Amino acid sequence: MFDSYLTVCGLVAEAVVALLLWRTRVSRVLPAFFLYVCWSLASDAFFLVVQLRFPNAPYALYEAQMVIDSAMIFAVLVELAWSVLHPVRSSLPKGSWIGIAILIGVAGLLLWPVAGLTLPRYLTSQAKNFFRLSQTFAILRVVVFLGMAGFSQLLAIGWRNRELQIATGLGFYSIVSLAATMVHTYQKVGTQYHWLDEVVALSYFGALAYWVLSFATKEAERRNFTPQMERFLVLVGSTARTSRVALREMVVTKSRRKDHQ
Amino acid sequence: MILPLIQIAAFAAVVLFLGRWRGGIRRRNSQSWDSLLARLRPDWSAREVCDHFLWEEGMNATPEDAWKRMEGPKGLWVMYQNARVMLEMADYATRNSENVDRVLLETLRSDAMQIRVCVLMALAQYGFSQASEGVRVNAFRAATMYTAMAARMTQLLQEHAAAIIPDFVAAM
Repeated sequence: MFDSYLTVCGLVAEAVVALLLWRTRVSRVLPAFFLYVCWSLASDAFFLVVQLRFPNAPYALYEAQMVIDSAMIFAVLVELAWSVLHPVRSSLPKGSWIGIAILIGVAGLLLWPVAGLTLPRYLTSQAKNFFRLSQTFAILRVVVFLGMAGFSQLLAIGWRNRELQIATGLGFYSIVSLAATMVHTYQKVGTQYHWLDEVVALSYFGALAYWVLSFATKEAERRNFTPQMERFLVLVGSTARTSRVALREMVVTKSRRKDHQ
Repeated sequence: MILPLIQIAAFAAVVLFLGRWRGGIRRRNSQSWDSLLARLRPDWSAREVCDHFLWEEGMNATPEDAWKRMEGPKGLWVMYQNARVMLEMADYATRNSENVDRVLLETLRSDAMQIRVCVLMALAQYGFSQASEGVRVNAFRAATMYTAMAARMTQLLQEHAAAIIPDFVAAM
C-alpha cells in the first residue's frame, strides 16, 4: 500500500518537475536531464500498471528498465560535467565532451569488478547481475560527483544555481542509494530488506520535491553591477590577453635559446 | 569486520566533503562585490617580485630571483588564492550583467585558471624536488601573469576608485 502511494506521489512530482523544466527552459540547456525525468515518469507509470495488472511479469522487463535507466543516468552525468565546464569551454578542445564520456565510461568499467566483490551469496545469478549493475551505478554517481566537486574546487570553477540544484538532488538520491546497496550486501532478504528500498524511493521523492521547490522559485534577483565594475573587468580581461601573448613569446624565446645551445 | 568499518568511514568522509563543498558553492554564489575584494589575501605581496609591479606590466626579475623574492611556496599559495577571487569576480559579472563582453570574461577565467594550474604544478614539483628549475619556471610563469593583471587592476582603480587603492595594493 505504502509502495503504491509513494509511486503515485513520485509520478505526480516527476510530472511537475518535467513541466517546470520545460517552462523555465532548463530543458534546452540540460536536455539529457529533461529526458531522464520524462523517462522516469513513463517507466514508473508503466511499471505501476504492470505491478497492478500483471503481478507475474517477466523479470527481463525489470532488467531492460534498469539498463535503459543506467544509460540515461550516464548521459545525465556527462551532460552535467560538460555543463559545469561551461565557463572554460572556449579554452578546451572541440569535442571535449567525448573525452568526459570516455572518462566516466572507463570509471564505470573499473567499478564493475569492484561492485562484484561484495555481492550477497544468496542471490540467484540473474539477480546478481541486476544487483551488480545497480551497485556499479550507485558508486559511479557518487564517484563522478566527487570528481566534479574536487576538480571544480581545485580550479575554482563556479557552478550556476540550476546545475547546483540538479546536482544536489541527484547527489542526495545517489548517496542514499549507495548507502542502501552497502547495507544490502550484509542483509538477508526479508521485510527489513524491503524497508531499505522504500527509504531509497523516499529519497528519490525527496529529490523530486526539492527540484519542484527550486525550479518553482524565481532565480535570485541580479545585484548591482556598476559600469565601473564592468570597466574594471574589461581591462583585467584585456590584460589577460596581453599576458598570454607575452607568456607565449617568453616560452618561444626560451625554447629557441635551448635550440641554439 | 574491517571492510564494513572502512566502508562506513569512506562513506562518512564522502558525505562530509560533498556537504561542505555544496555549502561553499552556495556561499560563493551569494557573495557581494565588496566581500570579494575583501577576500584578496594581503599576507604576501607581488611587490616582492617586481619593484614597480603595480604600475607597470611585466616583471624585472629572473625565475631564480622571483622564486627567492616570493618566499617560495608561501607566495605561490597567495597567488593561487587570489586567482580564485579573480575567477569569482568573473562569475559575479556573468551572474549580474548581460553587457559584459563574454570573450573577455572567458579570457580572464582562462588566465586565472592558468595561474592556478601553474601554481599547483610548481607546488607539486616543489614537494618532490624542492626548488628545481622546473619549479622556478612554473612559479615565474604564474608570477608574470599575476603581476600583469595586478598592474592593470591598479591602473583601473586609479581611474575609477582611487579610495580603495591602499587596500588593494596591500592585498596584491
